[in-house]
Amino acid sequence: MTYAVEIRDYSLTFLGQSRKALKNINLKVRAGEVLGIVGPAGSGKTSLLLSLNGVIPNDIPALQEGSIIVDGVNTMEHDVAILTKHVGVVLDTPDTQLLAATVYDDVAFGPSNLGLARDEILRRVERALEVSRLKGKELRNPLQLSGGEQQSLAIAGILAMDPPIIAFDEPLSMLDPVGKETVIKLLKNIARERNRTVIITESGPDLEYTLPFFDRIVALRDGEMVAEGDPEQLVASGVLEIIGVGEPQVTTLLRNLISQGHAVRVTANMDFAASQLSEIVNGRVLGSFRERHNAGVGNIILKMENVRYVYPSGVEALKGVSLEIRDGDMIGLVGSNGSGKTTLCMHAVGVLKPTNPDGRVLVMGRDTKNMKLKEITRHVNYVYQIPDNMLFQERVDDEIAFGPRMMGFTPSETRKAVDAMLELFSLGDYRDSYIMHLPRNVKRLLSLACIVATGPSLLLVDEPTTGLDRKTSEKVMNILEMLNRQGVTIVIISHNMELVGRYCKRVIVMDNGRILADGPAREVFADDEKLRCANLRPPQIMRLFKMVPQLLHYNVLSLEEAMEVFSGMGG
Amino acid sequence: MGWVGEMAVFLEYAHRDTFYHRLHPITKLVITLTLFILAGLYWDVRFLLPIALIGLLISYIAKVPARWFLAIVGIMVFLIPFVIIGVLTQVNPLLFKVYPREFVSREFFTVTLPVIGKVGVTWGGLLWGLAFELRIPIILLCIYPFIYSTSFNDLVNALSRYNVPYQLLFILMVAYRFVPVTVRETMTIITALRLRGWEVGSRNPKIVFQRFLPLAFALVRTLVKMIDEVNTAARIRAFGASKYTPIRQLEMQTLDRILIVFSLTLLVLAVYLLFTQNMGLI
Repeated sequence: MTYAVEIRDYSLTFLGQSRKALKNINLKVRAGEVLGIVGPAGSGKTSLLLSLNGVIPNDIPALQEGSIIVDGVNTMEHDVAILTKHVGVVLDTPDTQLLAATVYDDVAFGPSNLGLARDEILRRVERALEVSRLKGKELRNPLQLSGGEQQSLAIAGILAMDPPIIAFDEPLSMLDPVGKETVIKLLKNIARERNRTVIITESGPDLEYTLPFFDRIVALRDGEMVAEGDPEQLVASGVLEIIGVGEPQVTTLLRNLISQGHAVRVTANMDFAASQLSEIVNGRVLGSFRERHNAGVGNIILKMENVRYVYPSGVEALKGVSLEIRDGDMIGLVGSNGSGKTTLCMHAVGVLKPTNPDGRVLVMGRDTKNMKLKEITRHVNYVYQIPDNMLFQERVDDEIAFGPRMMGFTPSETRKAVDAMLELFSLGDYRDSYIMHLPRNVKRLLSLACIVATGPSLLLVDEPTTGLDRKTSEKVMNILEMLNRQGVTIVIISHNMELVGRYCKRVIVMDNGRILADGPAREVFADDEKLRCANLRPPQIMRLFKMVPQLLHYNVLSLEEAMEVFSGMGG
Repeated sequence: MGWVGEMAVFLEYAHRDTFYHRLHPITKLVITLTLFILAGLYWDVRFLLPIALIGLLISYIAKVPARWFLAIVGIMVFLIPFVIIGVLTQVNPLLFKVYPREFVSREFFTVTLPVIGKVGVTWGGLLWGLAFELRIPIILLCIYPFIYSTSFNDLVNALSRYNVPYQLLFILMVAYRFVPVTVRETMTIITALRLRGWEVGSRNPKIVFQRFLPLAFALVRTLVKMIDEVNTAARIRAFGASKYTPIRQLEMQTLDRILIVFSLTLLVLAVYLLFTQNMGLI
């Protein structure tokens, strides 16, 4: 049997660290296989990928033990430039991998470096553009593409180099639901085409999309392989939950039903799950769930009236948006990449102002055109998706104190705010730590703490759980829920429909600069047509229920509601 | 990526079909360097203004976005305090090589300042100040059309034909990526700072310096990270693995050759006259 990748007794220690990032990895990947490497943040997935193409240790110094052979080539004996002919790696942040000024040139960049004949390069570029569905966008500036398009471009750039092995580091993490489906289809094409070997890392949120695609899964935790095997078997064994990656909602539901005594099998397959549910509920009287979400009914904090916004480049990002946000609301703001969500948030915090004279943004009844930014941010503030964009100090306590100090808090008020945030976000152990060395999940908590410390009444949080493992994601959402109970109005911008369904009382759907739907979460998610227009899908649990005729009308938003339906089931 | 990506369309190449876009990258490089060097050497406003006009004309031909020129206005405003200091101190007629000493030392106007007393602005100081105020904006004016009309790939294509080492090309690539990304990141960081209540809000230099420290810190950290990321991204795409194959056969046309010869001749002549006849100096 031919192995595309053979990893033997591989351990990795980064310079300056005592802890091993990877420990005794033994793994063989067959040629043409689609392998999933699944693990929480910090488990070593990316380190393993970057070891395949030699970036570790050539560019990121580290001590290696063991061996890695890719496509018959020993990675420890060759430089990155040579290994790129055998293995391509697409990282999880596409915009950092885009180097050229146009889409076409970016795709051509890789093969141009390989010393190929010009005709061959042009043929490969055309093919890669076609497979990635970027035809027609050749002259676009890569940095102005949507997130999904950038991801497709990053993939096209590696595809054009035609390596037999391609590895993707969390390829779906930045994408909206339809973007995820598009990229997964692309990955399937890549895998089937020319029997290419595909390796994909996954930290949990996109398992619903990636699990059906994998031939085999390897589970990592703390740098060690803890399990390996068939995806269905691993899912059924519960190992994904144990390592902290989490499971698709359908899997957890079935597991919970087993604990209630129902004869079902754990699976991630929606069709199989639906048929099992159909059998369980057949002829039974079902329970109901307690309606737990109530939209905010308090005073209006933010009001937008016919807001239009045209960027200097000519792109009209908002096309007449009107909405009200009231005290106590917990809102999910959803929409595909490029639909205008972040632009809307920038108007809410006063960074941007409407470009049409009759457009108004009112914060606490006052027009933001007549307010200073500092006044607005006392009431409304925004947490960036990427924590690094908002961390300016060296140490954690200084960082949290920064906002209150700038806002004019007294030293004693600042100290109290810092202590409160360290406790609320469980950052006490990191008080004196240097921010540069913090892991991603801690930075995310810190970025939230910095804004909450300034005491806004309305908090806009951009993708609060992207890139986080299950445990930290839950922690973040629980904190936001708690803040909401304490009176802070929360708006969550997210592509994670399961999260929005579980926590948000109200959902606003944006599409192409307009608000397509705005109402209670249940009503909005039940409107398939509008969601389809916006390239979105309802939470998996709702979709599963819709596949079962007896459960069709429930429109459950979360696992908890689903379990209430089954818990109340009678004969 | 969203709103910052859309806002910061500044100092980035855009594909257009203008006369200047169609010129060979080497031609544009030579023209830009010629104007750049002359703007750096000249001090006489009578020589700087024609360069500015040429820069403006080329920018017009290349259809450089008008909003790019707002940065030039900003820089000119920023330079004013330094210009004022220079104007008040550049009074020694011996510093001037071309203009008659009687002229440069003649007072343009005088003003009495508290504590300091009577301060005079001479014609020499004024000329110096004007040149200082104009040179950096003029340099930018010459660079804008080059950046706007020349894609990095085309430049690498062109330079690789002349066997420019790939390490130098890599530096060029980082610089090309560096500039627009720096602009975007600076805007993002400033917005994030302002959302935390940051504002300069003082004329006290010490306070201004302290206020800008977080921005500087965050920017340096971001740029160091960016250089790492560009390096990794380029290496993953086999940069330096082999001889680079240009995908576009950019041939020099007759017009390109004429412009290159003209530019180089002008440059050589101008430098010669500057050093032998002090042409362009004050």
